[in-house]
Amino acid sequence: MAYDYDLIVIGGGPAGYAAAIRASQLGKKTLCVEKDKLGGICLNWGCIPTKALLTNAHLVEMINGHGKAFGFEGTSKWNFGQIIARSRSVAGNLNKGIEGLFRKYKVNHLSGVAKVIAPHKVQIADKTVTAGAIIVATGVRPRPLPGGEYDGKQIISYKEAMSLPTQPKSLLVIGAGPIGLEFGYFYNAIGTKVTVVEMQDRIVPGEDEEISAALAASLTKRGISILTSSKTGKVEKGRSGVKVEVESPKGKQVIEAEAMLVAIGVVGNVEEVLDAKLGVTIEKNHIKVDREKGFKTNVEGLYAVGDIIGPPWLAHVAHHEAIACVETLFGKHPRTVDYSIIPGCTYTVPGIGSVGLTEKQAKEKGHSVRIGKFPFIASGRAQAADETEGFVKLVFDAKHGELLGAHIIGAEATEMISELVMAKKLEATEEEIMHAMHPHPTFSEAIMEAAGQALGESVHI
Amino acid sequence: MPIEVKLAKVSPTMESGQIVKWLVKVGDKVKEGDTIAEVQTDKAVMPMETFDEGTVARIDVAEGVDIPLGTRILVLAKKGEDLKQVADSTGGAASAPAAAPATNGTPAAAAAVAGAGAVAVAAVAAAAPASGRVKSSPLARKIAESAGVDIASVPGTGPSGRIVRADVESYLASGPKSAPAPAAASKPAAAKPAPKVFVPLGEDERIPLDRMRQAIARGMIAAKTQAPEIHVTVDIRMDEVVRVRERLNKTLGSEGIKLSVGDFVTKAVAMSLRRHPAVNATFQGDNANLAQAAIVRHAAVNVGIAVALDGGLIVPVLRNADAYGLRDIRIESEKLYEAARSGRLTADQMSGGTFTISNLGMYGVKQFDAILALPQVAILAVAAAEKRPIVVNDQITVGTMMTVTLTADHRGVDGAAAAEFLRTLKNFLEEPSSMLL
Repeated sequence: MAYDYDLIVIGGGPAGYAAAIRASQLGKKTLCVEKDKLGGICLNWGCIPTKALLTNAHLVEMINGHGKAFGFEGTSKWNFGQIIARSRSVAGNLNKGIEGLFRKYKVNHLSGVAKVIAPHKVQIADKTVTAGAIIVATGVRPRPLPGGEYDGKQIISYKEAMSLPTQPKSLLVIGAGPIGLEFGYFYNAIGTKVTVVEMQDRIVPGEDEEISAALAASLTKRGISILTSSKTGKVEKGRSGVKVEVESPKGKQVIEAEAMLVAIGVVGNVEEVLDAKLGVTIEKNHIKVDREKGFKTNVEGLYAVGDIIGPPWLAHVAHHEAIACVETLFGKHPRTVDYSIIPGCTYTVPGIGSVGLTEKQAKEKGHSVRIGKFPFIASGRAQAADETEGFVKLVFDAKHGELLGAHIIGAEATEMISELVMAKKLEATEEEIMHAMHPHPTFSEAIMEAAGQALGESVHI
Repeated sequence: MPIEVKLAKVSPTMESGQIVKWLVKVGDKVKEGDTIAEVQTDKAVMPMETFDEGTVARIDVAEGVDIPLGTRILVLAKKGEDLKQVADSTGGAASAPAAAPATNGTPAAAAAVAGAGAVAVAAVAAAAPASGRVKSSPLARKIAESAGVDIASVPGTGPSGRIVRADVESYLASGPKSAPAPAAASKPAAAKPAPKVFVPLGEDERIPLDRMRQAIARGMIAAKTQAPEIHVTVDIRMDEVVRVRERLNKTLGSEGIKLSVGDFVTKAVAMSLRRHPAVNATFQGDNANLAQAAIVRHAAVNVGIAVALDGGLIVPVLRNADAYGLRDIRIESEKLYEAARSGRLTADQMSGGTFTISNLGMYGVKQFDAILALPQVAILAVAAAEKRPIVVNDQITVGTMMTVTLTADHRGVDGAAAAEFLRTLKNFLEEPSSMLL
């Protein structure tokens, strides 16, 4: 039987739009269904607009914190409404960009809610369309705090946090992952009193332990109050804000704040898109797929990619999964995603860029490790920029000098990490990293120096 | 000035080489990058390129002769130079090919050993691009290097065939997974119950030759087509070895060492080789040019012991085997088997053999003939030690007997020499204490 489409993609975020465009490029008749705006969370409510806010915060911090040293005089003022408006306009521009790409590559686009009702069959409003393959890429939504459900005003998620009508005087952030800390940094930089509560014993618990400690020190120095190994208890909402019971190792306390941002993880958007009769295997709110075999679900002709299939919930991972899925599906290259080389970034200042194993993970895996570390305080470029916080830490396997992991904290960390992603991908060892000439003066030189330090050959430390 | 082309280092560990095949002749014009010859190194047949341009005026070295690195092999006349004049004027300086010393005995030996791991490497390396550049990741190269594997022998799966870490790791992991211990106690394996299915299940399977199989095939064909062989068989009574072994193992038990019958065979073979240098030799040269050929009797007794692998076999070499006592033979052999099974033999451990033992005793075979591992002139096939009725003093009695068969290259070894070697071996094994003398 002939299908209406070769491929239907449900969801127009970084996974969905990439899948749709790639399939169209391969000559497949493709339909992409999105219920909201193209670009998904990343472009509209995540990666991009938050970076606009964080650039703004950094600007404020440079003027307020470093201005005097640079010769600025007087006081600086800013307009919170304009900060938010600029961030929204950046998202709006990019959103139109995806529409343009769809037109260029002749991807059919429908706005609406789609539901897979049978193998190869999708219902959109009152229409039923069929396809040879269906890719579900409907992403995730913020996980609510038990006993503190979102109300969009006092108890908010990232979406409200980036579009508040007025700047809160105080903000309580639950969860010290990248999202919680980025908002914490942003609001703290522009003058909000910020408290961060984290259940685990350190912030950014996914990162190398030294990185967590360094970031905690930097953020504390900036005035953010951080409570780790702490749990929230009763949440009380009042007229002027929330009162939250927090149990920390120091004892119980009640924290009051104008708003509470809950950033404790996500849940998959699985309910609306899948008919229960299909019997798609769901694990912990995410669709179970075979990542080694083209992201197949247990239902024939049904695939899923991106955040909906589970951690690490990153746009760049979603993108690569989508491409691998489509290229495997349409016979271009049967590809898989190498989950051992996933860079992760946190855009606070100092920021974090990391890839591969932490020192602890490497040791737990039985590697005998050699560490190369270089602090930015020893970098001429960092001193010139007056941003000397942080360091580069490279974890090598002692036997062959294999790069097991790279962990950078510093002003340019998120831009610097890609070099090490490439080094890992091309299986460079410490010698290649050290002997690859890095331009002077740059922050990136610290990578070369760190490799040299691991080999005991760094000249600058 | 004419250009002298010398034997270049085409493999990192080579000390000498052999021109297997000249690809140019006097009068041929060559330019930089042209492949002029195939060179047999310690581990492979590799193409040799020239870095100069000119016309071949003189070829100094015949095919098949072992020569040290740096030996002049060819003279190129530059543009405008007279070929004959160049050939004459450079004639005296050329090292005579026949006089080229085979320095360390057998650098070329292993490469031609039929089925030796080294050959598996050889076949691949020969297939490597003539440019010499192998696309590979730095990490892959380091892992290969520390495992003693020639990176060029690893099939690459990265972009454009780039060899990546996973390729080297799967190369190292493949094959040696289920190797039977060759010198293990020669208890015949119990026959497995026959499968009860009489109709074929599934389809015929076509298995293309992998590199190791190609190398084995090549070595076997070479041996069977180039070397006229003789087979000489003797039965050896092993009761004394069995007794001594039992006694010694009681003593060695505390060290966790257990001698095998095979270890006694290795020891006796090594000692016999020392007494019969004609058998501890390689035949170097070419049937088409016997005037240039030579038999090289080796100063060292380096015994190769064939180890079966999943889908092939490999011959690690126990160097200076005659210098070891039984205990050290066991320890060193075990190291080699272990390395062979885990695919971690170094090039050194696979080369330099002067004689080979192939032992199928643990499969309970009564007798078999092994095929020569050229250029070695002899190989010993060892069958199972088993109880047989034998005649002693005109009485039939029960004795533990083992049949061994020496395959010898009759170009270098005559029947009498083979028989003499076997008599010495038989005496050693029937009266192991005589090895102390």
